[in-house]
Amino acid sequence: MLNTFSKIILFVLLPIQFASAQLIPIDEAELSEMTGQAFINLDHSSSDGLDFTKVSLGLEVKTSLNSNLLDVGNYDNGSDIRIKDFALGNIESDGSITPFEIEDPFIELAFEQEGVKQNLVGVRLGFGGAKGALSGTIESLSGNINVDIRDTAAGLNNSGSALGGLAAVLLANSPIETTAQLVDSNGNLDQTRASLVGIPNGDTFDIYASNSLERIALTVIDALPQTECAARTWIGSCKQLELEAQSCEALGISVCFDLKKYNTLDVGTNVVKDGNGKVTSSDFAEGLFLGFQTKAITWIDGTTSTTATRGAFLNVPNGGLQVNLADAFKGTDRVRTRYVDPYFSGF
Amino acid sequence: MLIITNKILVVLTLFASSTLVNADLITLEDSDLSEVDGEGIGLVLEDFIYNAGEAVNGGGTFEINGLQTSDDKDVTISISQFYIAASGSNQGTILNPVNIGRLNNPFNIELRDGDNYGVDNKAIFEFSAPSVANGSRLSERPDVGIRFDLDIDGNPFQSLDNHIKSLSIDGSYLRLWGGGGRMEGEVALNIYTPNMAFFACDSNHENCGQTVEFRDVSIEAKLGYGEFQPVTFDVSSDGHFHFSVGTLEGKCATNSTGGCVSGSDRNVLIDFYDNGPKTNIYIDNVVVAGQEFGTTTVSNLQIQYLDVRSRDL
Amino acid sequence: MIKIIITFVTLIYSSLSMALEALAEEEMQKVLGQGGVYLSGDITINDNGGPLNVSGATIGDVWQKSCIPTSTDVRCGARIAVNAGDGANSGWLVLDNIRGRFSFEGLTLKTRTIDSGFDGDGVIFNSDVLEIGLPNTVSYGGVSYTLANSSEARPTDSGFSQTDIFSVNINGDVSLRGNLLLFPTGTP
Repeated sequence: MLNTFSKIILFVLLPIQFASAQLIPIDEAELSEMTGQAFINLDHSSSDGLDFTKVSLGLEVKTSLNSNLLDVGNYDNGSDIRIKDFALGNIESDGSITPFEIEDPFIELAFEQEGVKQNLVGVRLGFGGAKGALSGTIESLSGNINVDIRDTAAGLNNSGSALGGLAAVLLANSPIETTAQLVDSNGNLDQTRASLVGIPNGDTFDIYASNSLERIALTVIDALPQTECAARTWIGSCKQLELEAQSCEALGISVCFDLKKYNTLDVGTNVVKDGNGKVTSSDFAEGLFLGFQTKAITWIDGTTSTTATRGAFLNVPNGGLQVNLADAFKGTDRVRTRYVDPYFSGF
Repeated sequence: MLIITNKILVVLTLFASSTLVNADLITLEDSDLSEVDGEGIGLVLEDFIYNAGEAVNGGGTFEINGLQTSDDKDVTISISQFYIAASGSNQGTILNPVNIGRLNNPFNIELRDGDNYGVDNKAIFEFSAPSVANGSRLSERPDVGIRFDLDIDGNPFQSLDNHIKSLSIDGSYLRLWGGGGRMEGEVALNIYTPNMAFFACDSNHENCGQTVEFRDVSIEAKLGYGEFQPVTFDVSSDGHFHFSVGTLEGKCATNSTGGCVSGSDRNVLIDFYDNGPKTNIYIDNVVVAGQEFGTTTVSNLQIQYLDVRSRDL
Repeated sequence: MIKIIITFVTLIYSSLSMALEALAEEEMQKVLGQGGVYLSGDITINDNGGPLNVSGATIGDVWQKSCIPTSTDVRCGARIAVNAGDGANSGWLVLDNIRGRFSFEGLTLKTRTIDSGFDGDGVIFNSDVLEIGLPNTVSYGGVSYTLANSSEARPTDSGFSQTDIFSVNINGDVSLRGNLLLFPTGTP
């Protein structure tokens, strides 16, 4: 026992290097090298009748992780957020890890004054910035996950609709831009427990003509219902056509997509990909957070405010996720997230 | 490494007179290990009560300062209540003594033979809580609570309470060993409690608001897998923290898509995914003022790489 | 076995406890024979005094810095620096500016045989333990320290820079009741 005890004491002390220094005076110049540091910030603010207390940590985090299931707010036969095979970061084809990167995480509490009492009505875990691959099979999602769709009309070929295919031929190089959001199966904007992402009812899908032939095509399509020419040339041909989405369709083209098809989402802004779909560069996106509210709460990030619904809420800021039409219709393939990966036949 | 400098004239004579100057990492031989494994020191707290804070001790204070707001105002956090006592404390108002740890399953300090923990030919220092099997009974699970008073620029504005009932950390451990000229380790943190409550009050700790309750919380977090994936903590030379969990990159030869090719290295990775460190979190219900927000589950979270560095905000 | 631990623990505490008078070996044996040691402690670090300092460029002009309790001079207080990295390339985690007064009365040490109680565990245990009786009340008087990261172990090392993370100030009494029981585990 003595043997063990003394060894334990020695073992505890020995890895630690000891030195006893002789007395040396410290002069003023050296003391000036001592600085306080803003590693932890605590802020208190008020907005919209609520008080907020926020603790931020100055951290740079890089990670690669996998989880079988992330399930938050599971009650009344459903989940606010349910993602299977959730993963952050990815493994490249050369075997190197590209981590998911996070900057300056924070925890924020929201309080509502009730008479003289302060009721805790919301808490969120947020990130000053985030970028990287977020993978998973999204079965249910409450939040904001605005997807920017940017492509040329040639991408409509993937729509499976005859009219879409015709538009693809006629308007091959015309840029298309729109924003998809969480919707229900009728195309209504629905931020709670959504399983579809799409163009909400009343939102438009813009097609820009890039030459005179395309302007003629747009002018012809303009005669169909749910379309409106937003800009014309001086001779009256249409150069920008808005297709309006209703009930998950626009011009017979389905504009709502199953979230489960989006197996990997590239979080970040200014995401640049090479020909193989590999992200070559991206910037940190602000405003990624996971919140929990007992009522709708508007969280403030700098100049952006985000209203989160009751229950669990995952916010991914607009512009954070960008796909082309092919991805929108077909979804996005899951990247490799494990060295022995069931999504890659177990290898 | 530990250095005591002498901006001071102190009583730490034990250290100052130490002859252990600049000792390097020392590895115990296998022959030593065979003697020590299986012996340790058990620790049990009997009839224990810890109670601190100005709320209970007539003006005593525990203040954390040096923090700032994002616009550089001074922040002071005072801990006005901190207690550890027998369960049934009613948020720290009834303090009865509690036994923490069991005589036949105590907190334990021990040297382990690294060969059994994926750390070949080295001794591992281990500090462990009671094991989960035959673990702490209800009477051995204390209530723990802490209250923070927040103050910005000399203006107290809020008091935040956190109370945990019948806390058990059974199965938690910290293991340390010397590796590659630095300290490496692995850690497990288990938290089991039937009720974790948060609420806020005004700066006089009056007019407390609704309570947010997390019921039947079970957190089992494991980081690090012997020398295969060590956890390290150090400070960089520019004065920032650095915490890491070793990367799996380069642990096997890879095919054209980045996966392991068949062979023994792949089997090691399969073992890691099947039996390696995992984190599981389960909260049975979140209840706020009678409204229920259901269960929360995070299952089999495994870290393949983690690198955390501090920086100025 | 137990005696050796007692001696060890006592050594630590006696070296930290200014008010203690050394016990002669004979007396110690007597105390151990009675199964108990009663300790009180009062530790003061730079309560009102200070380190050496230079007042100008000329080394040799050395004087003692005043460190009254209200002083915010960073030279006041003890410093402990720990390096858990590889030493040469990594920095130091520092507890700096450690000062103030810490006192307790009635820490007891004794051996005890436990063969009952503990909700039935005592009968099965039936062994000796070393019992450290906690002192009921620990008093802090202006105790403070700063957690910091530093590039070098000592402020006098070249290239020294330090970032303070936060400081802690403790005043008043803390209740610390009960016994810490130490005993061998496993099968030696």
